[in-house]
Amino acid sequence: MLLIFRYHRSNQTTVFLWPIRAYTNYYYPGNLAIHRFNQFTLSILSLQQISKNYGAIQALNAVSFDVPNGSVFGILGPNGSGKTTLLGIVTDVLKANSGSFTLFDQPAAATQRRQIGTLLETPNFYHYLSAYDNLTISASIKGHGENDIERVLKVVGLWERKDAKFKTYSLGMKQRLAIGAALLGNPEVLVLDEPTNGLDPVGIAEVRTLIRDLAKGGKTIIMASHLLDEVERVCTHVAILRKGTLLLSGAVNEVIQREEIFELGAASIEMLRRTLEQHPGFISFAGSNEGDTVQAIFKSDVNPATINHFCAEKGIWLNHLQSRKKSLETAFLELTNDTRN
Amino acid sequence: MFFQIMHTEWLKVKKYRTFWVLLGLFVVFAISINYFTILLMKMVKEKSNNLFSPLLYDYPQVWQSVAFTFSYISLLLGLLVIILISNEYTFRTHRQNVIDGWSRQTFMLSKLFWVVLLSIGATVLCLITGIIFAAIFGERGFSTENIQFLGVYFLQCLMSLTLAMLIAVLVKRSGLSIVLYLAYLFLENIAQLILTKNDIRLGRLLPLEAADRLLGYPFVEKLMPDTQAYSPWLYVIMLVIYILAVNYFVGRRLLRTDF
Repeated sequence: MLLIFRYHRSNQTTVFLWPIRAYTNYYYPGNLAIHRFNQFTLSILSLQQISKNYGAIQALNAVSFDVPNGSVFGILGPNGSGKTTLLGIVTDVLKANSGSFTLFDQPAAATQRRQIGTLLETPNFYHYLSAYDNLTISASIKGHGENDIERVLKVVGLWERKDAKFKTYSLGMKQRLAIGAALLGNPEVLVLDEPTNGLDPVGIAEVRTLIRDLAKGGKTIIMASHLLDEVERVCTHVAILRKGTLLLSGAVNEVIQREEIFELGAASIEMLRRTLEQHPGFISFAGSNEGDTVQAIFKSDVNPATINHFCAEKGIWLNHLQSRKKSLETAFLELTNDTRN
Repeated sequence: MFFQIMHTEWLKVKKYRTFWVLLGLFVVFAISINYFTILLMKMVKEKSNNLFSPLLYDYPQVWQSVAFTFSYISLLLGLLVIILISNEYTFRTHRQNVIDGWSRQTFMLSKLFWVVLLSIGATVLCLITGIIFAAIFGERGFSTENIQFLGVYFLQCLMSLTLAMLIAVLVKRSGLSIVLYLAYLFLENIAQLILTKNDIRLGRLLPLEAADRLLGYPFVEKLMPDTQAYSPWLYVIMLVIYILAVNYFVGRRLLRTDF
């Protein structure tokens, strides 16, 4: 505490965070490069104006955002939007043309990557080695012993096939092994690029459950995907990319207006439409609205009970009421289409 | 970090059959090429009715002889370096190594590690072969005179393996790298021959030729000495410059380009 206090006093202009950093450094004196992840780290990854081009193609255009500690951060975008390029830069396999980024509030370096479990694009392993032997290499680079290999191989369901050579594995098994490698050493931060690629439906469900469990355990997960339903249920934060440009980023509920869509039916559709238009939360009608039901969009704080009550007060008795929350996919498609237009 | 590189690289090769087969071939070739030289020596002696009696495996000549014969099979180690590097590109494990937490410098050092280790290993094998062959086929007592040829062989090895590393890093695919490596060995020889034929001394300073000139040609050089030879130190300096320059270029490339 004394050290923290002194540090704080000698830096009068520093903000509240500084004492926390001083505390972190106090436990790892003289070795600031090996900044250990801990609960006081506020930003896991912070990107500042990252740009990357492949010749004339602008893959990333001044992308900036922060991944807060403990978040499940979805990097979303259609194919070719720059998701993998972005993660490639963060993992140092690609070089940005301009911009910078920090990991764990420190300038990015190899030592910090060792504390992150990463699955980038395709599984990369030595074909002539078994799953177990491949993981010994990953463990050696990360500076871990081999004692965690059995656990991760069991988590991804490959323990029985641990001695089979990687080249004999199916695509799904290779992907599982890559997920296993990312879990080695039980890292607090995971970077997963299209983690369900190549998996069968059972495998996809298992990986989703695994990700959900990891998120519940407080791990920070940065996940790139074009499969929106994959991240919808677990994402707390999101960054949406399109053609290398960041469309938006932040907490899901703040950045995406997820309006409510209701499907309603009544004896007189015309009366129903006129009544709904008077509701304070009403935004617009959706769909063709032909037939004996009507689709209406309301603000997100409107629920079925209030609508039912409102209509009853106006003398309209609903014979059909169904809530359809607008999915992330719909919001995403609208967003990317708006920009395209 | 050095121990970690050693340990990780050991894990990569310990169950890699191609690596051990090529290494075994190198040892077999190293012994057989020297044994054939002895047979050849005997044949020359017999055919010339004892007029030529080259004592290639007697001290102190043995050091130059083994270094000279070994220099012909260094290319096998070059192939090994190419395979070890291009494997990383083929399996995309060069990316994975970096993703898992190696810096690009560490990745570069892990490849340089093989260049140096194989060169040291080949030089030690050269030393052992010299001692054994001199004990079996020589008649004189042990001498360290001329042992500097082992140092020269080490430089020759470093030079050819560094070139192999350069080609593998640039080309990335093993088949094409091997073809280009062998083509370079051949083309450099041709270029050197053409330059020498036209009385241009500079051909002697080409990377592999400089090492060859430094090693000399046992027995033959006494009959046909190189009248236009440069000072041995110039060859050494040129080799060191080549090795450092290639390593600098490889390092720069690995640090700056996309993986």
